[in-house]
Amino acid sequence: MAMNVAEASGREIQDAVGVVSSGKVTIPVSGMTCAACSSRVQRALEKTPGVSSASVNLMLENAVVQYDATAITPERLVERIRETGYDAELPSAERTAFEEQETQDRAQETEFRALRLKAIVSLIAAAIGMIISMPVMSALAMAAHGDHASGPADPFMRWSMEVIDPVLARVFPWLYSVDHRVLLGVLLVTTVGVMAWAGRHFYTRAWSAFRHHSADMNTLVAVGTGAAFLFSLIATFFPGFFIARGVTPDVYYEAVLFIIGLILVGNMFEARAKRQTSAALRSLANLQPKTARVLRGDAEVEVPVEEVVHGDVILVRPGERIPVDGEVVSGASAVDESMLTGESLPVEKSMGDSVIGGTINRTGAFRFRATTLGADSVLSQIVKLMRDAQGSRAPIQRLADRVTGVFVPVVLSLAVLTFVVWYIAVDNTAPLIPAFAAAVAVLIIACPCAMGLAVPTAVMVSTGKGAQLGVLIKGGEALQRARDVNVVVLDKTGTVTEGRPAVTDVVLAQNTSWSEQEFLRIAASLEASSEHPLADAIVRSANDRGIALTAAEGFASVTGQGATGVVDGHALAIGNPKLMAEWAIPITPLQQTAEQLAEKGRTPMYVAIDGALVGLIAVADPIKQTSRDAIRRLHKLGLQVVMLTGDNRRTAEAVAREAGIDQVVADVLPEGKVAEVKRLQDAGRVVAMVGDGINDAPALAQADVGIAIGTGTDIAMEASDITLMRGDLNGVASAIKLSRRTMRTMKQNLFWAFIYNVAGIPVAAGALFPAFGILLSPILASAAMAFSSVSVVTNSLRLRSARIG
Amino acid sequence: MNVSEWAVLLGGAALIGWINWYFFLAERSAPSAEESREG
Repeated sequence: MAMNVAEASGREIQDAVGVVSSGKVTIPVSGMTCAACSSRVQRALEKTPGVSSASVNLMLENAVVQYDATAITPERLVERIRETGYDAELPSAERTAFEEQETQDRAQETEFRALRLKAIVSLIAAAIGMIISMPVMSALAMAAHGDHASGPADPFMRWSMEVIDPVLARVFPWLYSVDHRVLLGVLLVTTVGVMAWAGRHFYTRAWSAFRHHSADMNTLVAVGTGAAFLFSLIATFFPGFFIARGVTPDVYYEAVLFIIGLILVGNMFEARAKRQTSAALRSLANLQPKTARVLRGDAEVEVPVEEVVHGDVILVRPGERIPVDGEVVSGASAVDESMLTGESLPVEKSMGDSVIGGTINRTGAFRFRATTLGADSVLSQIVKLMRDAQGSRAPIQRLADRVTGVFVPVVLSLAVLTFVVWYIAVDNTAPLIPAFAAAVAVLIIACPCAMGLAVPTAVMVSTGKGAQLGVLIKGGEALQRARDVNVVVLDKTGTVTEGRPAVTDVVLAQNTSWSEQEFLRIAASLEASSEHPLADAIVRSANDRGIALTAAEGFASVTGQGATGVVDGHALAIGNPKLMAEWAIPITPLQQTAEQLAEKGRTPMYVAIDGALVGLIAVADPIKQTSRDAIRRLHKLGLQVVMLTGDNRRTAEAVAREAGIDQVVADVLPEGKVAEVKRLQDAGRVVAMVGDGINDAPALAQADVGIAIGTGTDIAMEASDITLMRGDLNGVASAIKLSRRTMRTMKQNLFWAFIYNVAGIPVAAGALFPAFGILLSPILASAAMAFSSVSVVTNSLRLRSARIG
Repeated sequence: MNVSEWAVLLGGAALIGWINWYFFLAERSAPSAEESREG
């Protein structure tokens, strides 16, 4: 597993060789529209001396750069990005994940609004342009051939001439009496205006890419519309050149307007869909309340949450959101933590319990002391983890990257080839026009954007969906690996079981005069002096039943046997058969029961009072209520489930039987867990290890997918690939199911993106023309291109409604 | 094939060659020059 680079952020890293001054910076980059754009910025950064690694994310619109601080500064990195034609700025220091998210949201909203305005204006201009083009084309056909019937070469415009032109002539007869040169002038001015305003970024970015020997979607749009515009310009000012050769001097102004308008519409929908893919992240960031009611002196003061300091006492009323993380100091309530853990039932909180900022207080009022704030808060860390995850790349992305890297130059070559073939092959006195239309259509229909969006959009939606289910997935790579898992290895304590022993059975000997209540009271009173976990279970059991304890006298702990002492004048011995033997107390009456309990994985303790055996108390680490169902779900997914534990075989097998686990490996030390995971991997299995993330850390790191079980407050889960916010194994099944679903979506997206280009480019080039007479208009090609990106993003968004949990 | 068709064929072939040279081959030699310039 990769080292946690975040820890190295902005700090001096001292390694074994010496002191290396290393830094990491996340630079927001704007203006990237497709995978070719992001790979261009990435290449430029990687080639910059002093940069050790760079990862540019199209969806998050940022670049994460690791660099040698002695060789280069962040300011120079920003300049380097700007040189590639995109805008970049240094992030302000000490920003929390919320602020970064807010900035990104605002930037995305601004981008969406700008694109919407430009798209609407361009399309209105295109519609007007098309209306004006009708009388112009009629007049030009008349000039070239002496009749109106010889329509334009563009199939879409020819259809328009046949269908719309007669209607238009009846509705706006005056339009046909205006000199066509005036109308051409209006078309020219409108087109220049739209190209210079709405489409400006296509040309500036294409030029900047060209200067760096690179090409992207903007190149295709710029070359396609630029060629159509230049052709129209020549036809406008030198119509005689065409007419002398019996060719209609067609103009493509309306095509340029439509192409720009439709591509902007596509970009606009894409921008909106990109916003939707991060909706889960936004809703998490929005959980953070803006203010907190803090106790200052004796007064309650409402302060902005940024002004809360460590140690402040904060008041929370029923129905209010808890503003920051902290520890309850007075009062009690039930808190709804579902938004962070996925746990549907409210969690009881009383003095000493921790509360998480962003969760909702349901029933009672309480006060708590602020502990972690700002960037260290649980919510901020989750948002950061999610942002990092959403920005990560899945290995399958490499396939798309390889294709987009060579895609645009290949399409440019194909467009030239199309022109040449059409020019030579067409048995026509005027081969120039159809050759030109087909070449422009090839440039416009080719869409690297869909390929670039196929994988990142699926990763974003999927990690967001996971977060809603209480499953934090570290990124694309973890998602992809989880799909291949076929063995799930579970740690027992705290993972399959509660991790906290509890009294399961209280058995009284026959003919005893002690009641169960009194028996438990006297046993718990003695054990209250012990620190042993089994003793703790007995004391908790008495407390839970509301039994008041009395003080024990002469308490003695007998190592490996139990405890003795006096309670209310009664001599007590609680422990195993060895202790009973030492006290010469026969255990025969309850021996069989004790053995039966041990068979079930419980630990029976004999209790003798005043020299006579009175009963048994059995303690066990109970299986979580959800474990059995979760393991059934894992089996249903075709996974083998193995339990690893340091416990003895009998206890382990009893737990495994109860939980429905296939295989048990008992008596293993933490290093033995690593060996066991490795053994499974050597046997060709892809292993997911599930543990509590502390003593299981080496095994989590060794496994192909490490899944840490958290409780919502403990998200220092750096050793794992996936963190379950809820201590519930159902999250494992959900994570694996989600990863399988996501990979399917990614493959569908890549398939459609590839097929779209593989099928669209030959059709645009005129492959269907010889057999069916079908030729694609550049206008329809631009609509198809806009549709392809939107369809890929929409397919990814379907993951939001997938039934996973 | 007439003269204009030959001209289009040769011009097209040259343009395709140039596109591939500019974006694939010249691109590889560019960064080394850039690096040496920057130090």
